[in-house]
Amino acid sequence: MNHLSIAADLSEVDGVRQFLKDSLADIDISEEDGFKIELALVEMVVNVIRYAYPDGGGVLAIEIRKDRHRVIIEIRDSGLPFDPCRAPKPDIDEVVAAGRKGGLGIYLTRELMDECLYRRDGGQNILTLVKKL
Amino acid sequence: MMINKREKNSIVIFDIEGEIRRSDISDVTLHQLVKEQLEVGRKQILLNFDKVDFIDSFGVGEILASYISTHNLGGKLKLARISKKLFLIFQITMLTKVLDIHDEEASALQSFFKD
Repeated sequence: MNHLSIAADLSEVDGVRQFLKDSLADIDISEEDGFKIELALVEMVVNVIRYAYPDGGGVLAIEIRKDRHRVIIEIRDSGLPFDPCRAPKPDIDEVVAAGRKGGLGIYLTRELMDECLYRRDGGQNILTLVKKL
Repeated sequence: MMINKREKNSIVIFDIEGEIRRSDISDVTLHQLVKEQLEVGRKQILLNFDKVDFIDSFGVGEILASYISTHNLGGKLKLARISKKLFLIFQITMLTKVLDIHDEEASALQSFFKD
């Protein structure tokens, strides 16, 4: 098990990516699966950093567990309650028509990973992402 | 991220290098560079992704916004030399429905004159 706690700040994202790579270095994982997990983790961490703490500050914790069959990532924060696993699928035609830049990250994460589980417990958002190998 | 501009047959080519992501601290974004070209009347733009190895949803948004700005002014924005893993992101986000993506720069350049 690997654990990392960071300030909710975009400058921490590169460290999160390196933490993931270090955590997965001892398992046999394809480049494509590694990329999918990395992107999903980046999307969810950036989402917490941008939206969980509207007054600034805040921290988040990441835990990575893995075995031969799957990688499990748990992200915890104490910010505003938000369940990304229930966000609706965006309509690309509507996104283009509206000229919107954002709104694709959560959907992208759900598609890249095999499971997306959310619970609110003890004042924390607890998001679990699972990738089967 | 670094972006270099060159031109071929009046088509503006942006050679992008590095990562297009939210946590990048670049002063200028891809969309801003595309808009600068549109403002001076350059409406045929090719984005060369040969040296791009990572994009996140912010990067997808930048590409989409660049496409929309160009399209709304009657121009054309195309992409070339995207890696297999980046193409996967474009497929998932359904950008392949709206973007004209070419394997090679040469075929992308030719396509500007065929449309």
